[in-house]
Amino acid sequence: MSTKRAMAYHYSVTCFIYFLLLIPLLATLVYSLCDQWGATILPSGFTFKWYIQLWTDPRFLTALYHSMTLAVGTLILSAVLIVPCVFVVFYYYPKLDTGLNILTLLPFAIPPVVSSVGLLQLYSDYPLLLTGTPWILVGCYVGIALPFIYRAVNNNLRALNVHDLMDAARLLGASSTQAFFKLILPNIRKGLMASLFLSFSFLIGEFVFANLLAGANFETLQVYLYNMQQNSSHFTSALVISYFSITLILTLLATRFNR
Amino acid sequence: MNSVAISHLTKRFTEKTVFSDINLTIQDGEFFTLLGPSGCGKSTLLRCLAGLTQVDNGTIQLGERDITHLAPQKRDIGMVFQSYALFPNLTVRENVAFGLRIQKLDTKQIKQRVDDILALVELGEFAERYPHSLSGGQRQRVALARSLVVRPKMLLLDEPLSALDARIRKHLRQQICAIQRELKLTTVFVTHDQEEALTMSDRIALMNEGKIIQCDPPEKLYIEPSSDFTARFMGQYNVLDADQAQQLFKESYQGSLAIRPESIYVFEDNRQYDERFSEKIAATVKSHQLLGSIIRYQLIANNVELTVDLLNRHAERLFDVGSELSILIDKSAMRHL
Repeated sequence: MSTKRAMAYHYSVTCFIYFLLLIPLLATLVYSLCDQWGATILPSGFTFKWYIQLWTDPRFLTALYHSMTLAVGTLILSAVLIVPCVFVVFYYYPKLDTGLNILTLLPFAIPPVVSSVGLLQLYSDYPLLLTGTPWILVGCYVGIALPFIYRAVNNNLRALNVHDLMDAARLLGASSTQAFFKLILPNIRKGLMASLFLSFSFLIGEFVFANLLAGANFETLQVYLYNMQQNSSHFTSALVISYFSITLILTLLATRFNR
Repeated sequence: MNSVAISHLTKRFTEKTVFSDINLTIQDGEFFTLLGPSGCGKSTLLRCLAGLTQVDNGTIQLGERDITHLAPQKRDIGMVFQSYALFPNLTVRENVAFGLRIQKLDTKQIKQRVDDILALVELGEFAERYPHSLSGGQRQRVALARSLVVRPKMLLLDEPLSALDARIRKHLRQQICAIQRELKLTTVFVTHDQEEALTMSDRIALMNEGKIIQCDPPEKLYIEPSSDFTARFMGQYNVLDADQAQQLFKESYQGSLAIRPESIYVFEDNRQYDERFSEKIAATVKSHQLLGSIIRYQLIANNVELTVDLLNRHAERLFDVGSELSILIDKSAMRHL
């Protein structure tokens, strides 16, 4: 095969796979734009009314606001808590790394349904009456973000020769804190940001904890989507496409900003 | 005066004693080398001087100050690491300026001092580059500039050349020596390479297993090894025990004997040999190696294997494996250990 033909072949395979992956999304998009598509082969007409209905629903806007503030707030808290912790363990107490490693596996090892039962038990009574408030979700989501951030930061630190850098900085007169902020943090920034985006798209789509721990008291996007199931499926399609677009736009913006 | 006095210095790691009771004095402006095989404690000793490793016992004095328990930030000591330890997120200029920024000097002064020091290490044109785009030799020069720009009282060099290739290493060696002499900076250099130590140092402390075996200027260390270990480590010395010495010279000897490979000569008919030399000894060539200006022969003489270095002067004076020849040994250059 000539190079040209080979390239055309590779190109077509790639396009085909993209197409396959896009089918569900495209179908949802088309469906959300249809007026009625029930008993007929072709839809009866195209309309934006589902989108208008959705974006004018105050309940949706509140849910969106809830999800966004919850995700962003959680990630800021996680970064502030976890990054120094991982650094301290890596630099000062490498023996504790095994423990931290096991800790990061827990959110994956225990299914959300199981751990939410435990959380409900613990936080449904005084003095820690948190169930039904966003605060229990913040705490829970920090735990979910932990493995992503830990992995990214730890790998970055490993690649960095932290000990010599810290030694060099200290001999040049910098305190450990100065060295951390001026040298270590800028060098792990890329990995940290990548892990924060990953956690963001995960958290914005989280359903089980949001539904079981806060439920109707603090409705997030996913809980809203679930509660709207009884509605027209054109409406829920519009919701899914909106949700997907928001995540996509935010991720693209953040990636651009991080460059 | 930035002389260094180390007394009774001891360092242990849980079970293992790295070194104990080390006593050293380093003169102001001296280029002092800690030489030894890997694991002998030389790097740990250097880290103790820098304050990066805590000592268990003893004191370190720099000039008038006791710095034994001082934080590294407060010691006024510069250090260059084997791994360079350049800050990857900063340009060459920012790397060098780091220490001055911490001292909060004004921008103009920082720029002036950074420019001066970069000119000294011949890296002026690389100021805006990032470390990853530099070669190993250039990176090490940045590291050197970074530690010199804060005008430390003492400079520590932890095997700074061992990650570089041979040609760059030789060049950088000369550059470091020239800068050190120009600034008259008290310098402690750690290496396992005896050639590096011999060419650069004012004085060398040879270490083994946490002890200082011998501490002398390079010429003395090389010509007058005080022990078996020094003789073997510093060159290709032939170290013979009493039995071997007796076998070689047919005379009785006590203790071991160190003979430098360049103090053994091949007998030439038309030359006069005075009483410094031993009797002629018959020998056979076992193997040879070309080292450039020198040819290193392994000879067997009276069943004793000897290393002999001959200048690579005439093509007709090459001896093939199996050749029979006569050797003479310069007895005045022999060392009884």
